[in-house]
Amino acid sequence: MAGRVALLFGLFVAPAVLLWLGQRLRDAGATRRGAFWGGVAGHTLALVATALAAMAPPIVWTGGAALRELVVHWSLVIGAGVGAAVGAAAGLRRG
Amino acid sequence: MPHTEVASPEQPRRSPTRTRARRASGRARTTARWMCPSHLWLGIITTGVVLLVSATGVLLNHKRGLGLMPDVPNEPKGSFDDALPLAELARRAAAAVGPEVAAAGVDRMDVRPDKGLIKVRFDDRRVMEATLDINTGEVLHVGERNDVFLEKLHSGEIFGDRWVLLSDAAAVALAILLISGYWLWLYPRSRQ
Repeated sequence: MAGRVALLFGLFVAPAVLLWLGQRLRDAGATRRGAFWGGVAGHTLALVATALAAMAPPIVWTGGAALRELVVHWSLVIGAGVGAAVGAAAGLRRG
Repeated sequence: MPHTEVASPEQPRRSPTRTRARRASGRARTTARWMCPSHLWLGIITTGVVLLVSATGVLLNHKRGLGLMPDVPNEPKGSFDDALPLAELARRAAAAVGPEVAAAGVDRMDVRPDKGLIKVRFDDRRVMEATLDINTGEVLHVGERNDVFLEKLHSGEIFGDRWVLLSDAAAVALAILLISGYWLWLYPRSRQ
């Protein structure tokens, strides 16, 4: 159940949060800009990983390999979150 | 004293055509204000689902070429009247796939009289299917039906029966994106 919620969050909520972060990006500080671009990059990479893991091999992922199940359900949320955190940290360092 | 009507300079009389045009222009301006952010938000929020539905759709279109479903050639060995009973064919299919898969039970049996074969699909995680000759009971092929999983992912059914609404939402979102995209492209041109 938690995995399913994480997948839905990653599919719908994470992009919405990133879009919200992207509002008036020109006026934003380096930290927010970094968080936005880091989040976008992380989410995009995670989306590719999720799509590949979900369909290759094309059999149901629940009850299968733990790694595959983890990638399909959690990578979108984790990818966006980690990407945003790394981007924000890089932006903070640049000042 | 004769009564004469003088048009007030503060309130000029407008023709109905001009009033309608002004109202239409106001509506278009209002639409233009929300169309762009709606297109953007809807596009970004539904990206993942639309991508998944598109990818699975392409794979399903080429399921035979990609080997996602078996294509078993067979010629009928006898008449349809002489076919073995369904229960016997199901027993032979269960023996062919092994006890672990057979324990999941038969999901469906798909009879093809023109090819003289029957496809017995099991309800296991990998969706195994045994193809048998309906007259001789010979096992022609045993393999996975990967297209079943892709179909369920495409429709959203993989999460449960009610999750087909997710796929419906993605389809509606795609239609709205197309319409709003055309509108955003054509509206500024129509005003030039």
